[in-house]
Amino acid sequence: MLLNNCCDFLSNFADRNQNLKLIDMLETFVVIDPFMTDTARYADYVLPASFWYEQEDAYLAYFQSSPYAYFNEKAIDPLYESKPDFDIFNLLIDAMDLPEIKVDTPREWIALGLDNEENRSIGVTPEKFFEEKVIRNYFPSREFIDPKPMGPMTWVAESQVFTPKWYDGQELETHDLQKLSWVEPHEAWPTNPLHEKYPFSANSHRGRYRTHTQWWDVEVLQELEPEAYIRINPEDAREYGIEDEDYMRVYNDRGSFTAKAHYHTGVQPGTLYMPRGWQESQIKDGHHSSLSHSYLDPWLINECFFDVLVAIEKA
Amino acid sequence: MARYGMVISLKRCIGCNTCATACKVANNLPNKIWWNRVFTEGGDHVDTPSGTFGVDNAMSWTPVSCQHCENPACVKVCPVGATYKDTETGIVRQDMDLCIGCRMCMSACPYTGVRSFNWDEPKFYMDFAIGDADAPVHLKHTVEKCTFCWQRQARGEDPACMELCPALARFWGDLDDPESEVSQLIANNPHTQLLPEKGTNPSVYYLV
Repeated sequence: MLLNNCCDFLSNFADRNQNLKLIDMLETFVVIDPFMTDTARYADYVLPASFWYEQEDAYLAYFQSSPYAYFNEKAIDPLYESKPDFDIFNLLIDAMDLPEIKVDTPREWIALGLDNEENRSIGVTPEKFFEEKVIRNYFPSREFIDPKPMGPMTWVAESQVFTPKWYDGQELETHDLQKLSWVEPHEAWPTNPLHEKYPFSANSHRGRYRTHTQWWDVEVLQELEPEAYIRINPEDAREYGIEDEDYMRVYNDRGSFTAKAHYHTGVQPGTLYMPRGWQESQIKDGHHSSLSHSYLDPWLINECFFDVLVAIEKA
Repeated sequence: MARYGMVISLKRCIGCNTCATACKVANNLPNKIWWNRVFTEGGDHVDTPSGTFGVDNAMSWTPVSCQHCENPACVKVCPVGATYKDTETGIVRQDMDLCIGCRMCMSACPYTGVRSFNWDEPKFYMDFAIGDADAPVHLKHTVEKCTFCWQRQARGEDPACMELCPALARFWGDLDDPESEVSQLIANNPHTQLLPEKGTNPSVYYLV
């Protein structure tokens, strides 16, 4: 059984096929999400989470992406059958009879994340946070963020000491990452024999009108970008008989998808800009996430979204 | 007497469409209607560069809405006086109750695309009005365009497109007041207006 909270991994993560296989292996798949995403559509149970404006919560910058913590105030009661994530988890805790981990209110939960020795020494308290709603420079409580000794906060505290992002005792190839060295891509590089069969290196770009897949269903923004598209250099496109606005198919051994070609002279010949953050229903055929691979370099924190070899044809 | 106008810095604009979306929401615009559009230099698609890769690629955007011309072509051709220039503010206004939907203003205006015609009963994604409580009413068989957010202006607020611009590229004020921010920006920076040869003297200036 997998309980997936607010993560549309089918559309956002690399290697959609592998993730579909994972879902197939599950006896029960439960998704908690405010949106009916591709991932939610595969769930046995969808627990509708209420939106930000319908619950009290806090944004603490878990990965130190910003020095701010924001208090998320509740504007209206949750609509329809949706419930705040906090309530959903408390109902699950009750059902599992785990009173020892239960916290009664969102504010108590947020206080756990802020009430610590380091914060008290710089005058940051949960009370101050609830009153001022935004605070700059604070220490998230370590046990609240990550119970493991090697969490992201440790990385910041022992700055510049690189540690593998996942490690289960395997033999590690040492990259000289402390000098920010260059490492040859796993797949998309001319030395790879696959390059002959799949001559294009596919990147992707962050859409202007969405955050990952979030806001995919906002109709006003869909008027600006009605469907998924591929940016291609006109020189490359013409070689394959693909006109601007034609549908084109992009494929490799892992999968394929079809979307509109957008001529874009800023794209380097031999590369493509694939769409990112679209739902299956917004793509003519297939899904862009099925083309990427799930090879993970243990030293890196993320999947290799830009390391994809593909071939193209007019659809 | 004033002549309200906008200064938009094309050197600062990042083409994010925040101004266009703010306008769409504040004025409760019907589906498919945009009073403010952001054009890209290289083509019709969003964020299309001009030039050739590795040679002379360039990327620039031009937000375009009603230019609220000092000498508006639309006012001259309106057969019923529905389109008129407000003498207090210089804002080119429309009286929706008078508009007969002849679209003469659309064909006279040299700035293609700033006006829209409601061929059908306007439709909305939400089943309730959004944006300003006093947002304009949208009527079938009438021509619509940017009002410089008349309703906000009347309250002493800036037009919605001026708010939230993440690039701080948009400025609003009285072009007749030589001390205003907009007048100072025009006086001290290279600038252009759209289609100056048409003799309309737009109240929207672009810093280039």
